[in-house]
Amino acid sequence: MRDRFGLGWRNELAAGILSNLDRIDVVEVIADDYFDAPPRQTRALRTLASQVPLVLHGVGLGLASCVPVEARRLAPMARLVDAVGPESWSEHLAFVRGGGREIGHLAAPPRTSATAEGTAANLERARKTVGTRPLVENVATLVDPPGSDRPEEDWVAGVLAASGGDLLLDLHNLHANAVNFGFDPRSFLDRMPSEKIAAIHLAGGRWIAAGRGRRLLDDHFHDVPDPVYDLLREVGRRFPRPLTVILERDGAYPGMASLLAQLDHARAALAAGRAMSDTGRAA
Amino acid sequence: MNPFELRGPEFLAFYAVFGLVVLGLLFLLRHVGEPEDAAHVSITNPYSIACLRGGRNEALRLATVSLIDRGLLDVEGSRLKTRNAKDVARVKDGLEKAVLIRFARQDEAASLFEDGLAGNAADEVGRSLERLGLVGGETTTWDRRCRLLLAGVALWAVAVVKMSIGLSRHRPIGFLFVLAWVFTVWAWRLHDPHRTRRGDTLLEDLRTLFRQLKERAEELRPSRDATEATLLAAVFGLKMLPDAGWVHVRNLYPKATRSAGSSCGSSSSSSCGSSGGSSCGGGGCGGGCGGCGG
Repeated sequence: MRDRFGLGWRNELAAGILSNLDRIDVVEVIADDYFDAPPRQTRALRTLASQVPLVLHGVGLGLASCVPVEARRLAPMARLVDAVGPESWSEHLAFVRGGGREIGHLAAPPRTSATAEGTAANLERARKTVGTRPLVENVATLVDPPGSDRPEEDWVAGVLAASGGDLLLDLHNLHANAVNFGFDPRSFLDRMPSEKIAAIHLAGGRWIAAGRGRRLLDDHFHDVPDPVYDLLREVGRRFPRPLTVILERDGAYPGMASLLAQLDHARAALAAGRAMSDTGRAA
Repeated sequence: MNPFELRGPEFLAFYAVFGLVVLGLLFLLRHVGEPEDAAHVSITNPYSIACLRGGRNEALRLATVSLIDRGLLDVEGSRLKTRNAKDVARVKDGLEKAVLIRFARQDEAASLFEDGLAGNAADEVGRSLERLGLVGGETTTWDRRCRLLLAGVALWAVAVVKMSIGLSRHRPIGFLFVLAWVFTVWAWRLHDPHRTRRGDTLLEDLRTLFRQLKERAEELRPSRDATEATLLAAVFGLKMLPDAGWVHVRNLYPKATRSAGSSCGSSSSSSCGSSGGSSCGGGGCGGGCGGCGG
């Protein structure tokens, strides 16, 4: 296994991706876009999976909750995984509904032992229904979840320990939370078991006004900022497991050359981290 | 009941049903005989996709357009000229290399279809599709032709017997003659496309994956979006390239870029296989059925 680098599959980027498969190792498809799609589109996705390694990414299950995830929400994911045959699938450590209402947002849950246990239970339900356990992704939040009794890293590490699952580490989410709430993102990495990080998300965001201050919003509309590459270098230095690194872009699409340059930047950053790790071990 | 004793209109109705049954059988035999699953097939080269869609000549046309977009070929009306002979060594793709060599001296774009080197390069693309089971090889083609022959014999045997009876009774036979031809042409088009079912499936999947590219075709520009334009033309046909930036393609390949009214349908008369030549043959067939877009 080796580190792999890819892009989120978006219709706007489709031609650019297929034309540059010599520089793109893997694509990540938003699963929810295909839950109600006609069979022709699902079949096309399966064909895409034969052109390039493909992973599915869910956004709507809302697994990070004390409320058991409903079977009817897991069923479409199970059908899609069965139809497409992705290498893996992932979901966010977020809740997206409550009290019968859809939030329309990936909301960070209160960081408590109850939500950690509930999340682990939901991950087990997902594993039983879909057949494989999803990678779970840390989320960005603009508010410190009320009712929390522990820091994010402890909560995420607790979920990973309780569920046996692996982490899809979103470095821009980590960076945004770190700058918004004033902690060192390396302290988050300190708490992550090295064998548990399987994949990385990279993205960009923008500053927005929040009260008298400002907050970094993870909007996927901007280029990956340097601190995120620094974190990727740090991940490479700390965690030897081969990683799948996905660059997410959801709008304001630049030319393909820019996205490929960001992938190259990510390659260089991770390789630099790996090299530092090797040097450290040799010393 | 002897169907040949039916009166004219009744016999035409009987023949229509008979023809539909024959067509249904042809469809069924193709369905059973050729696997559809394209899930383990990987083709990302736009020239392979173009060949799958429209045949070997379409792959050659697309290579030409791509080279023009990238500034390696100069276009003057319907004539082409390689801008710099040194580029022949620089390009990696065999098809592109052959095109650049062909136009080392300025010549008509359609002359490319008669060129041996370019033809061999395009045939190699076709053979790779054959190996993937996307276009019919010799065995598939033979099987199809046998089935088509049987269908034709059945359609015309019934029609000829009734026409003979009709002629002996001084009855008109024109409608039956036309109907027999309609079913024959229909059978040909149904049963003899150059793609296999797997090829059809893959092409349909590619069209689904790149549907948004088609929707924003008008926004593409040669210098900025050459790669996307090549893929757009590969999947949907040269006719999808917008006039703004690609009007020269209309001069080079008028038939292939005709946007409507083509009678080619989904079948192509341009062989993509290893038979060593397009049925279009001469330079006068610059468009050909390959440009129909499948």
